[in-house]
Amino acid sequence: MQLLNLIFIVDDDPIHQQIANLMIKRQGIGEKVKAFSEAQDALNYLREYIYEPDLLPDLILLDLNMPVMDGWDFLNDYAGFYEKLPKKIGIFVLTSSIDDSDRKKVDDYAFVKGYLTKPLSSEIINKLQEE
Amino acid sequence: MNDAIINKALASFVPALLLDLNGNLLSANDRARGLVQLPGGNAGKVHYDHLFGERTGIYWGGLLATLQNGLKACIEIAGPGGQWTAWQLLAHDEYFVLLGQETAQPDKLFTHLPLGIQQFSVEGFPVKSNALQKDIWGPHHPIFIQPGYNILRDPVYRQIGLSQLFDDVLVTGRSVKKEILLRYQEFAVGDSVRLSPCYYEATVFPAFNQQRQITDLYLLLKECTAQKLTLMGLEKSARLLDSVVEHLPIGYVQFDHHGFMRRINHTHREFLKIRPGCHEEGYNIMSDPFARMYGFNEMFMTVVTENRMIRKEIEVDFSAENTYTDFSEVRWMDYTLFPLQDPIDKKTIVVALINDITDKKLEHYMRNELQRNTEQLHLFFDAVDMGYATLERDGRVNFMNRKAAQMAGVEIQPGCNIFEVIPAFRTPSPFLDRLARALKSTVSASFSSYFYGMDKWYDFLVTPMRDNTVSVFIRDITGSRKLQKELHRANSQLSKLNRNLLNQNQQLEDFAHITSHNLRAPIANLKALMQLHNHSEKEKEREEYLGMLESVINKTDETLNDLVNVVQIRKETDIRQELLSFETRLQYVSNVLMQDINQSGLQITIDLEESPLVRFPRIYLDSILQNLITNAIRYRMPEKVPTLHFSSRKENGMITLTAEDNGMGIDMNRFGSKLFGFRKTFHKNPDAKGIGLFITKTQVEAMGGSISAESAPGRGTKFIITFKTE
Repeated sequence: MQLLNLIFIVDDDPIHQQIANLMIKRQGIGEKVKAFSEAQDALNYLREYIYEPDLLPDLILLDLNMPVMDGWDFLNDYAGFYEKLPKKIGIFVLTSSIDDSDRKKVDDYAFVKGYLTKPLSSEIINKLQEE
Repeated sequence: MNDAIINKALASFVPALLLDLNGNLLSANDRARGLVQLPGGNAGKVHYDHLFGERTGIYWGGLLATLQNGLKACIEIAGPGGQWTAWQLLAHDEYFVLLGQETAQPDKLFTHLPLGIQQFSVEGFPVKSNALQKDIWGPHHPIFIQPGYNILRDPVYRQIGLSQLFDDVLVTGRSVKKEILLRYQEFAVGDSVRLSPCYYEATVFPAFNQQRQITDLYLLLKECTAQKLTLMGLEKSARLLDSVVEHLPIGYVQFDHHGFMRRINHTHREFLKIRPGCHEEGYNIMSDPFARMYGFNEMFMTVVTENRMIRKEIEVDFSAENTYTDFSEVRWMDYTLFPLQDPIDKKTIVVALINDITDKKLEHYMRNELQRNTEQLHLFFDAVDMGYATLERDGRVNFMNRKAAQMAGVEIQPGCNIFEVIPAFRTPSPFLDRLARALKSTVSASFSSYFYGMDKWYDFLVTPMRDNTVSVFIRDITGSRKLQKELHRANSQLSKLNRNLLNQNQQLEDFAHITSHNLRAPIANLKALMQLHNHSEKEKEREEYLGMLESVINKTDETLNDLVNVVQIRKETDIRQELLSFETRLQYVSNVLMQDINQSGLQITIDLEESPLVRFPRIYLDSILQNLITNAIRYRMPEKVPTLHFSSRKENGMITLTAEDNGMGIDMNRFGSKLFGFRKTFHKNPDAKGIGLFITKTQVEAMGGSISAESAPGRGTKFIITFKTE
């Protein structure tokens, strides 16, 4: 079991951000949590610190249903550059959608480690650490 | 008469002869002896026949029979001096008496005979003749002008056979009689002279002396031209009749009253090809097996016994007759049998007239067959459930079946013209032109037409026939037409239903998506918050969680209200529609949004002349216009005066309304598919809730229309709404 240094939450729902933050903290799987309401901001961050592995997250919890740029846009963009990243970032899709078509579509992105559905729970948080 | 009379008679001058019952001469007085030239003595050995019979041809038996029949028994003979004596036979007990009485002078008789008479010597020289005979000879006859004329040697008379008569008499000693064409008579007809034959009955008889030697020859001539000519005429007629009968174009067979065939004419002989050498004279209609087979014997009997004509047509198989003919065909024969009376023996004869009517029968049969076929065909055409008519090219009806008459709706007799009698055909129409053209055409034509009066669709097939008539087949396709229409209608309903289903399916999927994302998200948050709340022991934390719960619940309520609105719109497809003026509604909405419009400085322009009106639910149109204006204000470029231009057009029977702004625009490549989605926002604008365009789209589509957008970032947005028009 390894303590995660930095976890990104990409979700436009501020309540969810708070909940995720609280649960991660309470579960004690990571030290720092950074939330992004807009996917574009998260991508900008990754690009900005592409050569500074210490500042890059270990884990990204990505929501799919977001305004302007949604989770799919994020994944498509990320697919273009993630191989250049100095460290391996675990990406989990964390969505309220239980739609099977979404689940299958996510399978197309090999670098996505898992498809998780809301609500977040202690069990799910623990899973993140195992991976 | 008694002995006294006899004796007295015998004694007297009255010449008398006494005969026994057998005609032998018993005695004769002197006077009688002289008259009959009896030799003296031996009277007992002389018989009447010797004295009278041989001279007169009237013998004892004949004379006696006359007497016994109660008639006057008289004979006349000429005496030695030429004087004639009439002898009357009288009966007296066992005797007979012949009493003689001198009659007229022989010369006088000779002269006044109503015939021509000429006496010749046995050598043939003329002796004397009476006046009539002289007339017959004529004054220039050689007999008068040629010395030593001899009738036996007259070349002319020898040629016509008169001289021969004399020869015959000289040889036989008996009289001979013959009809002779003696001469020709000349008579004038106008300027020309014609000859007509003169026939005479010539009798030559001899005169004997006591030694039974011929002393003289007498020629009697009696004109018989009229009779002869009549007879000849009759013979000629008979011959002509005969020839006619022989060559009649029909068979003629004559039977005697016993049924024996007496005559068969040439025609029938040829027809039957009667075998030469067969004994046809033995043919009897009553007994011949072939005749009996066909009942000719009964026909014959009926004709004879009932004395009436019978006529029968019989199909005869001649191969059954082998005796008289080899003819072996089967023929239809017309037999007419009728009775006639034989002109001579007055017995009934039967004549059969026989005619071969096979061809006629065949023709009759064929005509019947044809007639029957036609009738059957017409029956058949009456039975089929299709109109059928044969017409002349000008439209006159030859035949029309029942169905066709029904279709026409009027009774149509053959010979009528369809263009005159059918009411629907009286007023000119493209169909009539078509029909008239088809009737004149040499190729088949097929077309259908609707008849308003009858509410019928008829399909016509017009086919020219070889005999220059036209066959018309008419099919009632009303049912199939209507079926087709209904099918079409059902089809379009089905596809409409299908579209609706697809639409609803899409909406369901949308809803699944909406619930998945937009409803599950807050619920998930609620669950998570509940978990946090329950696991927290700090009162302050728990209050914080409850505060968050409240905010989530409020947001969820808002989302649910939006969804309920949408569902309401989709449910109320039959919401009341009214004819609305774009301009009026725009005015109204602008007033409502007056404050926002003024604050933003939005410039609204319109071009709604082309299609100013639309039939639509008023609240929807108001909502749509409001959304469009709000969007134009919300996503305006900060540095530009915002504009919004409305225009309406009619295109392809649809009304389109376009709303074009000069705002920020959106990246259609990225967001085009989500532009009208539920809770989709594409700007970091805090007012964006992602519900307006979704509602607009729902309202447009609920009424059967559509909405699309053309846009690019920084280049403004153009919304195009298409309204369905009924």
